[in-house]
Amino acid sequence: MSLRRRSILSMLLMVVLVITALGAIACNNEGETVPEPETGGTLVIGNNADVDSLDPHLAADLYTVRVCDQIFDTLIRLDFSGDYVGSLAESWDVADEGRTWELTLRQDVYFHDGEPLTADDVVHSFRRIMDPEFDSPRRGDLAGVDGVEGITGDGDDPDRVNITLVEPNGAFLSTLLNIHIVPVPDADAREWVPVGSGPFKFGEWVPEERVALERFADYWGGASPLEGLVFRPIPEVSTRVVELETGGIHLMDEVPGEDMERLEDMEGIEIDSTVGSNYSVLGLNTTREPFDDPMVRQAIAHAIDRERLVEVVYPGTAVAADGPLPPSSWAYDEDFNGPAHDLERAANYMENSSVPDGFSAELLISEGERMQRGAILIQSMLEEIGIELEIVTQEWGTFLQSLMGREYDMLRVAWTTDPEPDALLYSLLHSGSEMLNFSGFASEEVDSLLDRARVESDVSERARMYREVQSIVVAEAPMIYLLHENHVAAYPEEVRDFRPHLTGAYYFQSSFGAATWMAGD
Amino acid sequence: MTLFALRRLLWAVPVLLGVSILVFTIARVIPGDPVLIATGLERADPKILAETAQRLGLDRPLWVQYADYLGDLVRGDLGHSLRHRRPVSALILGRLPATLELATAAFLLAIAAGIPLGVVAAVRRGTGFEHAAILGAVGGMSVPAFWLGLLLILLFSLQLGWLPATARGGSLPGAFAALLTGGGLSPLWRSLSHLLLPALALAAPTTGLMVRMTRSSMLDVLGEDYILAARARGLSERTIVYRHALKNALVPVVTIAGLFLGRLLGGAVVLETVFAWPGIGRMAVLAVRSRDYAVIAGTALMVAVGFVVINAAVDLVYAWLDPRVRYD
Repeated sequence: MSLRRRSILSMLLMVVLVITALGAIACNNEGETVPEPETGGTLVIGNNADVDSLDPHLAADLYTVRVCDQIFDTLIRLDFSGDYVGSLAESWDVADEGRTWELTLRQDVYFHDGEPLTADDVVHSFRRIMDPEFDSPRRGDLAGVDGVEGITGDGDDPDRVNITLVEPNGAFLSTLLNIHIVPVPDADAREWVPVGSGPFKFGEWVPEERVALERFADYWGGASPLEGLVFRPIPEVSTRVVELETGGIHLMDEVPGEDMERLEDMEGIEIDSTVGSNYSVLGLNTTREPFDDPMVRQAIAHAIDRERLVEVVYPGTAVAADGPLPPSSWAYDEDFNGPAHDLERAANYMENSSVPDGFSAELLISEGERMQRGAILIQSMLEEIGIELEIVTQEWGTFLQSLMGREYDMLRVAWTTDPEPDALLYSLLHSGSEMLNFSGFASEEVDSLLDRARVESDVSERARMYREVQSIVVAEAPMIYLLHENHVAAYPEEVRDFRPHLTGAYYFQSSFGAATWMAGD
Repeated sequence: MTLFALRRLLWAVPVLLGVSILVFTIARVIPGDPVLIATGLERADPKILAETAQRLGLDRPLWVQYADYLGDLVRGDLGHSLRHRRPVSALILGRLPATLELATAAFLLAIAAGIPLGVVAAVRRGTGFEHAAILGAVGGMSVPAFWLGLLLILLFSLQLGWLPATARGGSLPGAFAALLTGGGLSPLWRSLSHLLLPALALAAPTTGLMVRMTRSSMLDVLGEDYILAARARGLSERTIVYRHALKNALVPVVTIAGLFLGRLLGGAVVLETVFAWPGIGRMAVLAVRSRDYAVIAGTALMVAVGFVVINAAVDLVYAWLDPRVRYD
């Protein structure tokens, strides 16, 4: 997004705010008040897929985690603006130059079975994930953990948990976002049951039909106004839209661009969106000719019109990217601009490159209608500077294999991340990253910045280093940052105080922000 | 006849063995690492991936893995799902009733509509009815079922608001049981209202084929000498068509219909996704995507068993319909 556009946007925003404020005052003058949340109602959510399991330590995909998030709590969470806030951990301290993290637990937390949550449960949860025999997909998250130790508080002192890392890691908090706390099982328990400390407790799971949850009255963050939640797996997006329109569900996300306008015009349907913490890139295989030539990469970067890509393929559901740091990240730099769309400059780069007469290459994509349409658009954009692309579509599993084996010329892929830049910047760009540095990019400067930023604990210093990495990577262009997709949610107007979260997770409880509730007729 | 039936069933063994080899190999030969897909690209750790693959035995030669799989299979163990962490047999048994209900409903709809329409089209040869029936049949065969499914949803759920768009409204046999035990009509209506749209969409291509098959088979039979003889004896047209011609005309139709019941099981895979129908099809699609080998092999084997059983049944019905068929 250009600077000018942004300032126009902020002006518009100001105007809207002023009008809303005036409107609110007017309403108050007439004696109307903001409606009080009503208690009751079951919110039915259209989920893209059924849950794989209700054990949060076996959950890997968003659609499963989304359900587990209601039953289980994590130690910390991200609030709606992307800041870390305490959840089960009230506070945290870092010691030993970032090698030891000490978390202080809340004292008023109970599991759904009435047992209090203690440091033992936290230690058990960590050890369960780290156990190779248990084979949790989250085990890799805790690969850097050396040991976990629980300290039971005396009397009024809260319980604490000390986590020691193999090496200092300033980004460790982001790891904790994915670790749900489960209770230490009873010695005589035969079967694992989904008992957590979250705002909703488990009701029933009918595979491929629904997961039903009930309000947990003793939730430490205050009981939800909602009586219950039902997650219904509806894999086909157009059917999900029909279910929303006919009242079969009350909430869906990933609203397709082609349905946006119709839903927006529909009376009684609200659309809300937030820029997601993700990015979609065009990766160039720098270990292959001619992509080893920085001139060629620059030419491609300037030939691509990201704004147009968003306009045509993602109308209203994405924003053009400037670099690898999405607006939701604390390291985001709003003054930073990505490569400008400039065909003349692109042509100049091409003329001075190793392939002045152009070349042909393959563009690898995974399945999906928007991927396909985006690829066709990119194909036509690069044709302008003499690059002839053949689009090759692969099924996701095969695509992953090609990506990791660097068996491609150019590819388009999207990554979801959290606002912590380390995770993806390190694995995608550090020359020592074995598996995921798919573009084959290697820069001593970037390596050193990423290494230093990882162990640094001062956030502003880290932000500075990541911004420097961003400048280098955008200039070197081993991959071209195309766009950040929004999380677009649609719901009928009786659903109140719902906000889409930048990670795509659903938070309905009031432990931060307003609690979601449903208005009666 | 009994001997024939036994032999017919014995033949199923090599067929199923072949299917198991094929499915097992194809699932593993296609690129894609189940452990990586389960873990997610963002948190892939090379050391952990290798360790997990080793523990699951995925690093052993393919034939060793197959021998293991076959050993379990003979003992009735379909293996364990990587994704769901549950026995495949339990996963399939939980979802099979929904798929069978949908496929059977579609099959019955196709027969109930296809055969009478085909017969009438043949009897009223050259009339507008025949043309309309053929046009409808070709239409039904040509329209992709998932697209028809979406259209039905748009019309009956969104525009008219008559029928629910997705999900299963409880099991149909359960609803019948409720009706018999005094539970009233509402469970039955709920079940049928959810079943009707997916069953219609699934039935359309098969109905089209049934109409065409019945019509042409009927025309052939109506041109036979014994029909001419029957007419010469002065039998009524009704008796000729329904007592003499129809039974013979149905022989090829039954053969095809049986095969189609098998195909409907496969077709349900796509429609289950459109209608969010909780059957094995959706699980199979997800299993392929996540390279959940045991589930892929298990569901494919289930469908293959269905095919084999149906084919055997068709052969037996064939013998009953046409006593001239000899089985030596």
